[in-house]
Amino acid sequence: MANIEGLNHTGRSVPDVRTGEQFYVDVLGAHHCNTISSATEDVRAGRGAPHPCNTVAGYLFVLFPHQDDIPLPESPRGEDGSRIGFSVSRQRFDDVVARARDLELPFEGPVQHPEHGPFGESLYFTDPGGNFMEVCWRRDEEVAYNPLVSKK
Amino acid sequence: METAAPANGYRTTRQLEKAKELPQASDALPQYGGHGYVPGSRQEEGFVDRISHLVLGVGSLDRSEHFYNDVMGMDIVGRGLMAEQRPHAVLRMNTGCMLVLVEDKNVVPRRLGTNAVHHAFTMTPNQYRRLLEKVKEHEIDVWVDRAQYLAEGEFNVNFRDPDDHALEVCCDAPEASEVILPNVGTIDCGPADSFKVGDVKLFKEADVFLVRVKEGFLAMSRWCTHMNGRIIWNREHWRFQCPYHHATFDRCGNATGGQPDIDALRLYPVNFSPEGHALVDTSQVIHRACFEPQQASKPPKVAVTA
Ligand code: FES
Repeated sequence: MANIEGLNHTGRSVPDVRTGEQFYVDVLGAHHCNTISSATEDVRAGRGAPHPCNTVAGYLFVLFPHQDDIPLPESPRGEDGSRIGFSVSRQRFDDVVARARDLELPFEGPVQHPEHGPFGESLYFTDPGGNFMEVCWRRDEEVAYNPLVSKK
Repeated sequence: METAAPANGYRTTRQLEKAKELPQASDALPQYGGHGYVPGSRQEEGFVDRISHLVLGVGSLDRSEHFYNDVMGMDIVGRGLMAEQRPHAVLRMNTGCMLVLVEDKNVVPRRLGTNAVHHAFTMTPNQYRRLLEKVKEHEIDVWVDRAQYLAEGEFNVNFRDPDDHALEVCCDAPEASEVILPNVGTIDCGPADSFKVGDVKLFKEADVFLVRVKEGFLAMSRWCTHMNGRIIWNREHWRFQCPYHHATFDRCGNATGGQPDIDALRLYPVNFSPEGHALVDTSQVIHRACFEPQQASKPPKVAVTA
């Protein structure tokens, strides 16, 4: 067993929070949870502007606007070059590729992964902030891992 | 261990002190999906089914693989397991979430002055305790960005990885669901007839709100029924609200939004002294799903005329 359970959430920046959130809702089927608005004292101190929280398949994304006073790094891979990967069942993977085409979502792939690894195939796309995202099916989909959130 | 974390000069004392707090030892699995999360929001048939992995660019694969294995506690699955030309390593967590580290000589730097872009992980209390030992051993700077928004039993720590990626670890310990008793015995809240219907008064020493509703008095525990956040009374919007994960409650303590399926605020019994003072007994707690008129204690005058 590892000494860590899993991923909890990701904070991402997008040029415009409203259109960014719309992408997560319309394309990824995100659910808007709430908009966190921090305490007045924080906002006065230049911290903690309101930011929307959305879950995609139960995983939380917190969206922040790009800071216009700090230039964006020259990177085609989003603000910190990271990539978030989601999975679907092997059975559903072709449907997801077809759905991405229907949505006219520009994507790369599908790409086949080596057979000795945990990943099967992936397709890649970006959000409006240029942040890389991935959808894959996994060869270990039958393994009974711990739940992400265990219900009370 | 070498990290690129900058000096912590701009952190508040509370942000630094909070980062030292430890949950009680336990292997309890997480029950909450992160601040801002609302349970039950999983889409039935969405574009994707579940979170799978995070890919991070790193300057040195050896250094980062060691960091994520030794400090973060991930199991090493192996190298070269993805359709990726650059050297990469795959690590696994207990929920099956993977971390993929890709060696990249031009790691995209984190923009200074913001922790907005960050990656958060979940740990059990014992895993979190181990993590704090590890960051101490490796002299990694830690703090808590959300120091003022942590409920009792909710633990968070922020730090940076060797490439300056902003990380956060979240742990909601069983203490978050324990009933907190103020242990201050019976408190005298003053003459009952000094309260008008609609009044809400906080007694800080006991973390109790005494509320006068038309049916009588309710003494409500200040501890949120979601995860032991300390609620506040928002006078302008006529409701209690919890600054931690946004639950709201009406004047009678019914949950009205923010988090689904939570109970009404807990009550303490209210009695009246012969002089007509409202007395709140903080040694007993009354659980309830929602407000019922008979939960309100009638002040002596009302009882006589009823
Ligand atoms: S502690 Fe979570 S909403 Fe109150």
